[in-house]
Amino acid sequence: MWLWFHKLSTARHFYALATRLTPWLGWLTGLTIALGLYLGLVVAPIDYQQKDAYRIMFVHVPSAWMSMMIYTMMAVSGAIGLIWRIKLAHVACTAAATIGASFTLITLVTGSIWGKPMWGAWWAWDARLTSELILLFLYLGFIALESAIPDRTKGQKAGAILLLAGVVNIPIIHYSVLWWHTLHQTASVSKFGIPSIHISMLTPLLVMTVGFMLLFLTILALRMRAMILETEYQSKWLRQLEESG
Amino acid sequence: MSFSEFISMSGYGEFVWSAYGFALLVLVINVTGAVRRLRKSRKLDHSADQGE
Repeated sequence: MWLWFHKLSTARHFYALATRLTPWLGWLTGLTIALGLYLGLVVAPIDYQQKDAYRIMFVHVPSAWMSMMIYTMMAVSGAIGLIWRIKLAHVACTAAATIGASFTLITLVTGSIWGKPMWGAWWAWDARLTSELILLFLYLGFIALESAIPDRTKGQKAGAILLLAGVVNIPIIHYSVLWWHTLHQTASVSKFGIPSIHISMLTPLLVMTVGFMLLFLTILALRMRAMILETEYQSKWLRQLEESG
Repeated sequence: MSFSEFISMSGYGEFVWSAYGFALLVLVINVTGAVRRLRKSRKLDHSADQGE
């Protein structure tokens, strides 16, 4: 009984907080991405080797980071949901899946568009490309699995287990460029040591990453609110909240 | 830098703009989809009220 109250109160507080934060997150997202685009497309200098084609990186690299970060967040959230039986953690997993899959798709497609003029091929069975493609299949597998199981709770549990099993792919993506030395270039931005990228190109990259993170949080808040409404629309607290605000 | 130079992206315009365009399209679909779903679920709440 206490656990039930706890769950309900978590959803209630989350809903109220998310409702208040969403417009702020939306505006901040728009401003940050606009600044990132300006810095990346206008201010950043031309690359002496790749000319202007390198500017695809300002979308490609932040998307790739997001694709891995969102998956990791989902796996952690799924584990929390499994261990402490927190309903909201499972809701977060389900709500984040399509955004994660979208960033993975953007990574693969923008990489492919860059690869055509630079490598001479749209696609190669390179270690990094392949492991990122596997990540897309993990996202799609999670979405398919959850929607295929009619019982919500069972579906969420099965989904969380799939997420945890697939988390092994994340370090594989990260280290693939070092372990296999295939086509994809190695990291230019490293948290450890000095990044081998000029500040004028690093700044738009980081601004775009922050913009994508904010965008993710905005969409996550919107989707989680919708999911809470769908499951608990008969609850008293929700009606009171909607009437007062 | 002129506007046409900006659009041409030193000859890589079609690649740069199609990459940015694709990313924009996917992200816009994500936002509109989320907003539409929230609107729909809010209506669900009101129709539940009216049904009482």
